[in-house]
Amino acid sequence: MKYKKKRWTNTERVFVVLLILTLILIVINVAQSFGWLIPEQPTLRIIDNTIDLDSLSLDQKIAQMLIVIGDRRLIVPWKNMQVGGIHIYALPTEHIINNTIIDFQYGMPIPLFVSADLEGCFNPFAKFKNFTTNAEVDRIGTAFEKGFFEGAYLKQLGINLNFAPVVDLDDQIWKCRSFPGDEKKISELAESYILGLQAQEVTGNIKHYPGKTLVAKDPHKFVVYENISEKDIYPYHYLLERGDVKTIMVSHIITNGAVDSKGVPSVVSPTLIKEIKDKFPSTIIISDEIHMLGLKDFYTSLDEMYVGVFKAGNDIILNFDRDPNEVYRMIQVIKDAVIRGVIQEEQIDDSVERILQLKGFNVVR
Amino acid sequence: MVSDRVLAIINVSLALIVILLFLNLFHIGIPSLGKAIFTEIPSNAVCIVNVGDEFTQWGDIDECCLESRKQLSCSRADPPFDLEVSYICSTENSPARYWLNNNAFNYCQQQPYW
Repeated sequence: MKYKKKRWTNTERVFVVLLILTLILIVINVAQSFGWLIPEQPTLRIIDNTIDLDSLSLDQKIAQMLIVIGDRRLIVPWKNMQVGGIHIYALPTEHIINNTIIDFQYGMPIPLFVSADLEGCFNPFAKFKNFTTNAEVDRIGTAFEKGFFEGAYLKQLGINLNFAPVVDLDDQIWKCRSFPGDEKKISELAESYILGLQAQEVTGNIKHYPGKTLVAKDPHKFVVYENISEKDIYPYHYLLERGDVKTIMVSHIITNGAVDSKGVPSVVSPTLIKEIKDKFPSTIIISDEIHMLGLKDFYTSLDEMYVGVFKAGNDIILNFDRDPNEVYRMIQVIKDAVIRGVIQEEQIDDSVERILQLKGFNVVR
Repeated sequence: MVSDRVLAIINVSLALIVILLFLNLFHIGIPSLGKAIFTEIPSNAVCIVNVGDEFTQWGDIDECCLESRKQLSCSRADPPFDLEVSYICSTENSPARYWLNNNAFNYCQQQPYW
């Protein structure tokens, strides 16, 4: 018996082609949305704990200046980009936090900063560990103990950078983020806290320079102007002069008075940041998270904002955008600005050198 | 067997899907009113910080969104005070909690870090 071979009609052929094309495009789109198409950076050669800065590509240097969101789903793109750090939000169990950090750190040529906000009365780990609020701490010994025990706990989780303490005065909103007392008392308590924290090898961070971030604002005025007094900046100067604190976070507030951001948000004010760098050259300057309307509205495009944040002189930029492709695009925008001479490569090198030194490496150029 | 007519309709649908997937791949967005609504902070967005028995309105909705996102979860809830607030973002046992009304919560969800 002879079977007659079925011939496909044109409609059927088109159907098969379209179906295959759809499936391929779905796979590519999914891969792209998870950032799997972001190219992997070359492996670094680190000899005797020493890194030659020239061995890093410009992409790698810029990526080192970023702290991104520590979401497990983004592990591939962040590792491919070799970002400088990840930030941990609250997670359901200690085990998940631990495993997330281990997975992120695994195979990274330069270990990541792993940051958290265990500060004042914010406790992302409150489900499994309680700590006193800053409002309850009024003695130097107690502040040291607080820092020491919080540091021990963070270290156990794998966190090596804590965005604490808040040293802004006059906490009108939470009433527990700052230490109690006047600017002198707050400075002394903050210093003890930092010493305790750093005794556990967890780096502390004073925020949010130049102050006035704990006051209630008009909800409909997202561009906020504040007058900064000598009192507001006292804790920052006190702590930086003592040399115990290694990092400082700069806010988005536009300031005048004792610190003048010259009409732009502090975080993109070259004058304000240069002032800190001139007085305290070894301090690492960290931007507050950059996706704030008060900052964005100062620019006509995201690209301009990205360039503004880097050009101002921030060493580490917090970009918690969950879209890895956008973060990768940011790196390309900055790279392009460096190539065009809008941002000096020397400035990027200085920042990366300090980041790598804080991570415990010797750096040669 | 599927008739030629049905197959032709499927082909047109697939072709549309292919076009949309192509557009998405190259980040070519189609403007939508939905997004336009939330590019600015809604005028009646409310964020309330709750620590212990104290409730304080926080004017910085952007910062409030970020802090809310850092919490373990956000869920619908009835606030213990007389204000139309629909969501609470908190971490179990943490002293600070954030109450947001619908407008604020919708705005927060549009942010890149959410």
